[in-house]
Formats: sequence, structure tokens, C-alpha cells
Amino acid sequence: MTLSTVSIRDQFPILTREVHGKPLSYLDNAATTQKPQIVLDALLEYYTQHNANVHRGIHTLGDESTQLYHSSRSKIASFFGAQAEELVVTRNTTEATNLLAQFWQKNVKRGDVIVTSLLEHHSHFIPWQRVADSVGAELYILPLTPDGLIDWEAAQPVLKAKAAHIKIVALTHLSNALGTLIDPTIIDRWLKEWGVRSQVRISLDCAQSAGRVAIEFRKLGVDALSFSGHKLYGPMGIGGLILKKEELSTIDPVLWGGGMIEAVTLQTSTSAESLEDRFTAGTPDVANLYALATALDWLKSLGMADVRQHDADLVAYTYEKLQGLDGVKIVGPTPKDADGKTQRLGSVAFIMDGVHAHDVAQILDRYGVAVRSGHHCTMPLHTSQKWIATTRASFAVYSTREEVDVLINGLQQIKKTFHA
Amino acid sequence: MDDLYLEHILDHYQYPRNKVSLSAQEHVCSLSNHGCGDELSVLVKWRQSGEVEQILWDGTGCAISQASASILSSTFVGLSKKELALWDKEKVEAELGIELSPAREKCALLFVRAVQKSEL
Repeated sequence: MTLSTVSIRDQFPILTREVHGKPLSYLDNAATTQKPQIVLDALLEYYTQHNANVHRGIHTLGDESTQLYHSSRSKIASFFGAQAEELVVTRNTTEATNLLAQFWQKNVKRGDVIVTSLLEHHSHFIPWQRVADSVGAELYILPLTPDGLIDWEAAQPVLKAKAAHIKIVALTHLSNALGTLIDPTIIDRWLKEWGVRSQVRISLDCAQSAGRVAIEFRKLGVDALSFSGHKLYGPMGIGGLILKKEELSTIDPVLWGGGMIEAVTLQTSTSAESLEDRFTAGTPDVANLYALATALDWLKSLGMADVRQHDADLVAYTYEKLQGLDGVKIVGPTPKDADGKTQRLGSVAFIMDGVHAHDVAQILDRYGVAVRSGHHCTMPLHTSQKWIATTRASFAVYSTREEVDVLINGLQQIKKTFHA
Repeated sequence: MDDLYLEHILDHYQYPRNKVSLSAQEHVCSLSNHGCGDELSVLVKWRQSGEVEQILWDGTGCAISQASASILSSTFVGLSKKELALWDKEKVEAELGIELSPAREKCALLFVRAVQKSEL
């Protein structure tokens, strides 16, 4: 392994706890990640040393808090290869995608096409479904291959025929249910070839990808991306939407009030010139921004290439071990394609013959193993594949092969018990 | 692992009592948990005096939902509508002999809800 997992694990206090008398094997990282001590310390440091409202006072604490606020915003934006003025802070990916749908709805009219995929998490599906419903646009769902990859070959002629009417494309970068890694530059390239790219806006859901692969906003061929801090070793309650500043400067603020105004009279109010201010109404969550910036600095210091390699290695290991179990069917693509290129990251999900996913998860919990079971907020995907529920193991920088071994051993015990 | 819980629940999951095919029956109440795919249909036969004479059921789903149906389909015999209305999470936990986490509560209570909704 390229990451030094032992020294990484030492930095996560929660990983020492026991569950039902067994060591915790936390394999539910797609749901949320655990937090390193440095992030926990940042939260405490902010409230014990620097807490004051931003932009509002001329005193030392106010200055320190304001500086931390701006430096945190810059660090977070830069993690995604964007500028601070391109970051709209939200509570999470869901709030970001809903905000984006609100911004972009005005660009879609009856008869237009919104393109999305069967892999989408509800948070990056429902907002677009509702936009399509509301304006009378078509929601075109990209087809999947039997093993859970986007079927680009089947999609291309359909997309080309609809090209003149496509206004929005909403894609996940990395599927939370199947681990499928999507290349958004494919559709960007096609839309350019067909001469329609300038009329289309592409949204990329980076909730799962941001903690696993390096993200360069302007090299992905997209117009907006969204993320959740709690999936990136940061705290819950903080996330963001990144939009090109050329576009953001044309959008009206959604929330009006303190902090985002230029001038207010009894008759009228104008919003701030600065994009950072215009889309930050009310007191910002400086503590969580600081903690998230700390988390992203920490993550970057591990080297994103090594982070990605570590994840790919665990996906491959888990996939191989699950394949060796009778009565276990893995859902989603193989870790690598025929050319040896990684096409699956983050997680491996499966179905066990004769045992409902909830029972699998419940019994695994008795071994200290935390996995997720159900439809993983992808009901359209599960329904289309006729899966009642699946069980998913997902990884982080502190995950180990030993934890996967505990999972496999637990599954073997479940098989014995249910099929005895 | 808590062997007692697993044995008791597994027994009813693998050898369900009072489970029959109900597709052609009238007065069947069907409910499901959309989140996890548990589905149950129940047919309650009532005595003239208003108590449960017999409960037949059919369904698919997790061990907790199906075992709960199997166990309670016998437990509920002789109860009145009023007594059935009192069945909640605590009573189900006591009867099944397990503690229900928030995630599994809906599984265990699906049968109870279906019976409570059944018309006299």
C-alpha cells in the first residue's frame, strides 16, 4: 500500500472504539467519513481562540475570524481547482444541487431536454426531475450496460438526435451505489463536436469523487460541481456548489439579508459587488469552514494520487474476496476495464442469496463491521435492476484489507447460519 | 453474536407459520416498506364476538419482517381490535425477544400495522 495506513489510523480517535466487544471495522465511508484529530482540534481552536462574527467589528477577534473565514474559503475552492468567488457554501451536496436547479431552471423551457443517468443519487436526480416536470422538458436517462457502466455507445446517437434541445446534463462523477467512475469530458466533447456546447450547462455531483480523486474544476468540461464536507473528513453541515464566476455574476442571490448587501434603503436594496459576499447571507459557519479547510489540507498532504491508489487497491481486494464467496453476487462494474484502466472506486456492493441486505448488515454489525444496506438513495437504479436491496462496503484513507477480511469472515458466518 | 435471537428469528424466517398464498383472497390488507422492500399481505378472520379467529399472511422481505409476521400471527389470535391497537414497538420487542434499532423498527412493525388496518 502506498498510504501509511497505520499512522493515518492513529490520527482518528473513533477508530479505536469497540462495537459489541469487537474492534470497529468502519466500512460505510460513502455515507460519511470519520474525522482526524486535526479537524476536531480546528473546531475547538476556532471556538476557544478566534470566535467572533466576520466583517462586522473592528476588533482583534473579528479580524482573526474574518481572516480564517476567507483563507478557509480559498483553500476549499482551491482544493477543487476553483477560485474563492466561485464557491457558494451550502450545508451539503443536496442543498447545492437544489440551489443549482433553482439557478438553472430559467434556462430550460418546454420541449427542451435534461440529460441524466440511472446512477444518480436522489439528490442529483430529483431536483432535475422536478425542473423537467415543472417546465415540460424531457428527462432523458442515459442507459447503463449490464455491469453498471454508462452505455455511451447506445447513448451517442440518441444524444446527437436531441442535441439541439439539450440544455442541462446532470451526472455523478462517482456512483455511490455501484462505484462506477464517469468521465464527464466525454459528453463535453460530443456537445462541442455537435456545435451546441454553449447552450448546455453540465452539473457534476462530486460527493463521492472529491475525497478519492483529484478534482480540477476547469479541466472536467463541466459548469458546476457540488460536494459535501462530511464525506471529505470534514464536519457535517458544510458543503458547497462551485460555479464558474462568469455565470455566478449573472445570477440573483436567493437569500437576502445581513452580509450580502451593498446598500439598503426603505424602498430598495442592492446586493454586494463581491461574489463571495453576494452569496453568503447571514453569519457564515466559520468554524465548520475552518475545519473543512483543515481536512482538505490534510487530505492533500497525503497526495491525491496515493489516496486514489489506496482506494482502488481496496476496491480490487474486496471485489476479489467477494467473488470467491458462493451465493454472493457483486453489483456494478469490475475494478478495471479490459485495458486495465480503473473504472470502479469507492465501494463494492453485493447481494447475498437468500439473505436480505438488512439482515446481512445487522449481523455484520455484531462483528463490529459497519456497512450500509438498502437502496442507497438510488431507488430508480435498484428498481430497474429488480434489486430489493444491496449491501455496500465503502472505503476511506484509513480503511485496511484486514477490515475487509473481517467483513468476508462475517459473510461466511452468515452463509452458514442462514443456509444451515 | 446473540445466538438466542438469531435462532428464534431464523426458525420463523425459514419455517414461517400461517403463511399461505393470498393472491385470490378478499379483505386482504397489503403494506410495504418502500425503503427496504419488505412486503406483507394479511387476511384476518374475525369471530362474531370481534376477536381474531385466525390470521393468514404472505410476503417477502428481511428476516425481522417475516419472522415478526410468523410469530405475531399466532400471538394475535383471540385479541380484539381494541387490544390490537395497543401493540407498539415495546410490545413487539418483548414478544420477539429482541431489541429493535430505529432502522429495524419499521421491519418488525409492518405486520402489526397491516393487521391494525384490517377491517372487521
